[in-house]
Amino acid sequence: MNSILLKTLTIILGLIALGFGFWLAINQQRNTGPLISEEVGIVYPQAREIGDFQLVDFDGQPIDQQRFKDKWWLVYFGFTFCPDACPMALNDMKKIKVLFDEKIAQQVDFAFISVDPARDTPDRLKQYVQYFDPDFLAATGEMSDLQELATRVGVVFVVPENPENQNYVVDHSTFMLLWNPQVNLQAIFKAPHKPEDVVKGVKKIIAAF
Amino acid sequence: MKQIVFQHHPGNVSSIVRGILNRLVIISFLFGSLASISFAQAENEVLSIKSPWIREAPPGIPTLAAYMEITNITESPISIIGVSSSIAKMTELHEVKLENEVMKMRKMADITLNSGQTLELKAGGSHVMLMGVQESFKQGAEIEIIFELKDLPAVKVMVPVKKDS
Ligand SMILES: [Cu+2]
Repeated sequence: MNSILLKTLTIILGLIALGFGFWLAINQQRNTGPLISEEVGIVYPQAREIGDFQLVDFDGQPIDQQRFKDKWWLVYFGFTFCPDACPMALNDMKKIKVLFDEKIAQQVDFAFISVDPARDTPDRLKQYVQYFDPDFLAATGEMSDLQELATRVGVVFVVPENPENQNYVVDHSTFMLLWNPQVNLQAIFKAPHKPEDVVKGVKKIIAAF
Repeated sequence: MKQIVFQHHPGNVSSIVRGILNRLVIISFLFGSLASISFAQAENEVLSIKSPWIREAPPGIPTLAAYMEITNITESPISIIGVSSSIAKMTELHEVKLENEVMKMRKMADITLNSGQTLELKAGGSHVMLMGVQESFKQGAEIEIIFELKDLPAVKVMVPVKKDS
């Protein structure tokens, strides 16, 4: 009889402690507040794993996740025939790079990943991305590899399967992604990307992780 | 026969009337052409085009987006039934939809602007999309875009190429 009561009490106390723990955790998170506001983007407290992937860079060389290791990367998925969203995002990246203070600038690189390999040859990609900044990287890949990578980082794109002509458009997410030095997804910045907001956000995120 | 007779007799009343009529024809011709000139100007003023620009594209990119504010400054509705440019294989009015953060460009259905109504084409949104552009246009260049209107003459706009700020 006594032992049953003891057990019940222990369980109840345990549950109370657990609840209190949760409450503390939630409260703490609330007190520190988000690193960036909801309109600016989302930070993952636990970086989302990206895993292995295969791409082809703008020199036609195969690259994988190792190419992105040990640096923070701002990554944008798009296509070069896009006359509006993509050049605007790359122009924003150019501004972001300039706005970073030196210490942050040394830790962050920039990449454009084309989801339109049929039209975006390595040559075209190189000309394209270097128009914005000679330090930017561009890559593309096999359609299946691109689909897989995009899915893992929460990017959606739709390339028409049998386009009527070469002037087709590609639907795509307008996120600017932040990959951490372990090549995992740490944050996403939503369009329109205000360079000042992204700069502040990246700085806070790098300091926090 | 009769006409020849009249011409050979300048003093004839009929011939005087005829002379006046001839002059009237000439005058009305002049009037007509004057009227048609001013009409042409008026036609160009059916739409007011504000802040037109085209984003300079990176080298080798055959797609351009043009932006501007188009306002119907007449008393009656105007339908834009087509858009074209001689420098592009294909020109379309595009609207941009952001659905779940996914950007979708679609051809706009024919557009009717009511009196005073403005169609806003601006960066990050709707635009005139020029596709299959073979030449490279740098900042400072100008590109002609033609809007075809229902029951009205087409409106031509010279649009300057500019770099993104
Ligand atoms: Cu478009």
